[in-house]
Amino acid sequence: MLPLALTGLWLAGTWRVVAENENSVGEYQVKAAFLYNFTQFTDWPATNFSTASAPIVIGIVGEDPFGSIMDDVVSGEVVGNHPLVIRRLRARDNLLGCHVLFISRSEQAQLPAILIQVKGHPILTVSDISDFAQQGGIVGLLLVNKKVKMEINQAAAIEAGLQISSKLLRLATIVKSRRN
Amino acid sequence: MNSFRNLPIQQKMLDMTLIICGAVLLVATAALFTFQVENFRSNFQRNTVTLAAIIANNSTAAMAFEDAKAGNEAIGSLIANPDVVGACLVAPDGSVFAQFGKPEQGGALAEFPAAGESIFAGGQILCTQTIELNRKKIGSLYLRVDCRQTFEELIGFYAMITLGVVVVSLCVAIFLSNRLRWIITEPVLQLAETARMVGEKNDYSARVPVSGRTDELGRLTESFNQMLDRIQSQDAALNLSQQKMETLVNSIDGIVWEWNPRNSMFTFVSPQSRRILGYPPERWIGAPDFWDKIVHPDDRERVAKACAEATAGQEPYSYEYRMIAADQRLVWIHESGVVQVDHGQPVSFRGIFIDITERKESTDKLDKLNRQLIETSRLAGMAEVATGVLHNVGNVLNSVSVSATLVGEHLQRSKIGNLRRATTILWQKNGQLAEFLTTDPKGKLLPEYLKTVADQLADEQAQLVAEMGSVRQHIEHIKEIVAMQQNYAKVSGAFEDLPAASLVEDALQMNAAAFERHNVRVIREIDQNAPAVRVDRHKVLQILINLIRNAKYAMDAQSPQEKQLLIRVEVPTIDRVRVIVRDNGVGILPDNLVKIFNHGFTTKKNGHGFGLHSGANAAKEMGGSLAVQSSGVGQGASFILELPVAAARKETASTEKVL
Repeated sequence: MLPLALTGLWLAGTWRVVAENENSVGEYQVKAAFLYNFTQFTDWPATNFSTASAPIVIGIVGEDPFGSIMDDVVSGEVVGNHPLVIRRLRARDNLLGCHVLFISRSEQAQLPAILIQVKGHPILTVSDISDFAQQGGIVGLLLVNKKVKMEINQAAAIEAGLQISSKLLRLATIVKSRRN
Repeated sequence: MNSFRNLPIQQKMLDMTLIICGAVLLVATAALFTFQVENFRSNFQRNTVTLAAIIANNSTAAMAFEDAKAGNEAIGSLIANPDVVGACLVAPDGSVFAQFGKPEQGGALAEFPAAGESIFAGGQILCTQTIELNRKKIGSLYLRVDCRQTFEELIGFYAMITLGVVVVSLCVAIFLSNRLRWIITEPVLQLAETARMVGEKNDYSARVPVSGRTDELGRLTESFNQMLDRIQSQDAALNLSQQKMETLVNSIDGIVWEWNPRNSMFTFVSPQSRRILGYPPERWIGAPDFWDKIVHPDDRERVAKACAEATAGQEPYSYEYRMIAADQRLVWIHESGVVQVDHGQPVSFRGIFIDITERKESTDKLDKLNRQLIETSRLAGMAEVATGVLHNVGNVLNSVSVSATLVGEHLQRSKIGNLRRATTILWQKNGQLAEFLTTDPKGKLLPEYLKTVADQLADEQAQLVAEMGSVRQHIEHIKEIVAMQQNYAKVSGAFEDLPAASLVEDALQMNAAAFERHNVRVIREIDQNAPAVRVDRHKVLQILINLIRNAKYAMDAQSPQEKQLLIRVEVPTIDRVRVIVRDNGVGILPDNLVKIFNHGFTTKKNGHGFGLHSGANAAKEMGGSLAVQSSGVGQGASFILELPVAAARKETASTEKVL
């Protein structure tokens, strides 16, 4: 318990420093932490895990903007009984094995196809592509006054069969899918 | 407390009810209050911890995403609770992430307890709550809540409620007490009222109204009435008995009185005092030293002394003295009384004065009469004795006379004439004597004749000498008789040790002539070994002579051949000698056996009834006794005189007994 707590302390300290002082590099560090935190405020249907200790898979589609940061963040972390696993993918890969799917800005063009592929599956889609939530994604990340903010499309989340904690919802701006 | 004791019982009961109610309410309220305060504290603490937990939980996301605004919003909701003084969210590195209310400055955070706990400090609750996400600590919530205001409000509220409850309870208690107290107090008040009536008016006919209750008060009422019943009947009995006493006291021929020695005053004198002494009771009672005023001055000192002795001895006393009546009469009083003593001090004398003046006078007369009787009796006795003595002397003189006649006759018939004739012949033959004697036939016979005459004269001489010896003996006898009489004529009173047998012999001897005259045969059965008795010779002789005379008298009617007197001396016990005088005369009626020794009792024509009476008294005086036995008329009688054995003899006897 003590090493875990120390790790948490260290992590938290790290985030603040990054967030306040190193904006360019810190942005993805913060976003990586956000991705990690999302796993803690989201409930997946139990059927989505083969076993009780099956990992939560965080998929990164397209060019990985995190570098090794994401691996560092999730390294050794367990949410519930589920260890966290990073899986890097390409847009045409089968994305359905993921629980969280970060769609890199590089895949902006492939976005509709990706969203169609994961539609109806309990996959929390996250991206910093602008208007991502309005386009049918679930969590959109955007930078306001050098701070990372969230937009959440709650309807999309419900449609995907995910339950997002009200605590998280309270921090985010709730948006709706734009009708084309 | 004393003033409470003197309150009316109704007030007391009300006060007690209120005190009890108050005490019960106080205890109950105190317990409730303590419970409520404790409850309040624990509730408040629990609420605070819960509040902290909720805020902490609501702050998780804000902390996780480092959203200070959201954090401030989360703890800003505490504004809904006016008791919250301040709260802050602190990041694991110690920096304050969000804050509400009064900022925690300086080392204020150090006051807070360890994570997950809460403490009371100065009316505030300090609570620390860890903010966890996925079992990792991502921050801490510090919450400071002031409970004083709520507590004070609560206290005020409780105080109001308590006051209300107390007021209402007391009102209910007073109301109920007023409605119910008559159940207890009414019979008590009735009892008190009746008791007051009995006490003040001595009216024992008063009764407490009976309520028909069976509780203690009902029984008390019943017992009280029963007590009154008894007192009433006892009072009536007392009155009756007092009346009886008064009647009795007034009917006593004497003055009943009570005297208080402390103030020398009579406290009670019966009304007879007016009749006997002429002083009404009022004059006695309340007059100090009244007794001293009316007692005869010559007797005062003597009676006062006797009175002092009676007081010291604490025994009933009696004495006689004279009092001076109101009309200056002298009244002989016999006073008898008892002394009541308390702690060694005489507290009262009670007794009776009896007028004995008449008795005194008649006693004097009787004494005089007795003295006369004794004198008469003594004279009679002496006459009897004198008769006996004279008779005895006469008898002896008769013998002397006979002897004298005999001597005379002897002398007349004396042979001395023969001698004269022989000597005449011898005188005539003077000168021729030899011849005559040898030749004359007559002369030859003369020597033979002279011898015969000489022998005859010698015989005569012997006879006369014998006769004269007899006369001397008779004269000795007369001397003895006279000496004996002189012996008994001596003044009596001296006790001597005398053999009983000789006393009996003397008595018989004195009556010997009478026995001869009346042809009484005397049989003696005398124990010659009987010890000496210590007696007054004169008195014993008097008794015995009296008994013998009585016996002789009782046998007067018998034919001369049958008169028989038995005298027996025997020793029934070691210290007693018994003399029995038994005759076979007329006997004694059984009725008379008991009064035969009474003064004045007699069956003789000329008797004075004093002989046996004084004989029995004399026997008693000497330490002996005189008794009588008779089987009845014609059966004869036995008088039994018992006399004490002389002291020396008795001592020996008792020594022997011991050995």
